[in-house]
Amino acid sequence: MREKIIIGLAVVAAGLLAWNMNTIFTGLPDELNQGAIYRIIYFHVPANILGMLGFGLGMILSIGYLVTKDLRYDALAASVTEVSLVFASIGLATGSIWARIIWGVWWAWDLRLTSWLVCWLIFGGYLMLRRAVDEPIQRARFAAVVSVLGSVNAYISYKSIEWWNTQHPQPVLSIRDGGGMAPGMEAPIYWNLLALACFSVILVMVRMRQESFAREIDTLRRMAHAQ
Amino acid sequence: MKSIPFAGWHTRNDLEKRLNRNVQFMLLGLGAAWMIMFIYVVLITLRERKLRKELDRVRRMVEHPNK
Repeated sequence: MREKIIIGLAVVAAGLLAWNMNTIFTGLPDELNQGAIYRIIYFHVPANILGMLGFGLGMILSIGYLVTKDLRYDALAASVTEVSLVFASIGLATGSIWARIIWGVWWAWDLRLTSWLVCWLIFGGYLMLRRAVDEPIQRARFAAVVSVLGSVNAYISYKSIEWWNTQHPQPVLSIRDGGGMAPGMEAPIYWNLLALACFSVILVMVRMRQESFAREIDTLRRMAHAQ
Repeated sequence: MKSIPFAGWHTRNDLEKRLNRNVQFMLLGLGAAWMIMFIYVVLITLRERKLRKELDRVRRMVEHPNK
């Protein structure tokens, strides 16, 4: 059943991405002030949204673990956080390349960029911590605490463009009362978000299967040592 | 006598350069996004293969402890 869901989602994601790439490159004109480079927004924004949502979901699952002590919550939190970190990396890389053309610099130490980089480092640390601690219950508890702290930082990063004046633009999307894009240019962002969301669900499902393999290996090793 | 190029040529060349750079960086940005996803998919696939091998090995070890 899991395999069928993965294949189904892969077909939907691939179809949507192909259709979106066609729309982005052949159906949309260049932006008046930015030229062709603005098309980076179709990966930059969805990737960052998925990164932030994933870190938030990871926090909820981590709290779920702390309350119930059920290791399945921890496994799901680890899977979601790892995939979210990949999307956050895409957001940072694409943002930096976009900034080089529009701002003339690869990086600006403003509150949005800095807080998002700190968030990326915290969740990178989260994954390193998980590798460093062998005992599953201790690992899950430490990781849950880091996840909660990191997600607070992710929320600060999300709100930073509203709370402070930053080099990074203020909200642009109409769902955040931005209204800075033509509807025809905004819609492909949501379609790409859907495509990447399908892709991220596939990745989380594969990571969950790996977590169950790792748990089984751990259990069998303990059995082998006990024999 | 050294010829002085028409000023308009400079402007057009500069504009073309800027436009080319704009498109190059757009392709670089989109390429980076695809590349990061591709690298992660490769890493996750390699990890899966390693885990399956390890699981088989440990299963055999538990089922036939004397081998």
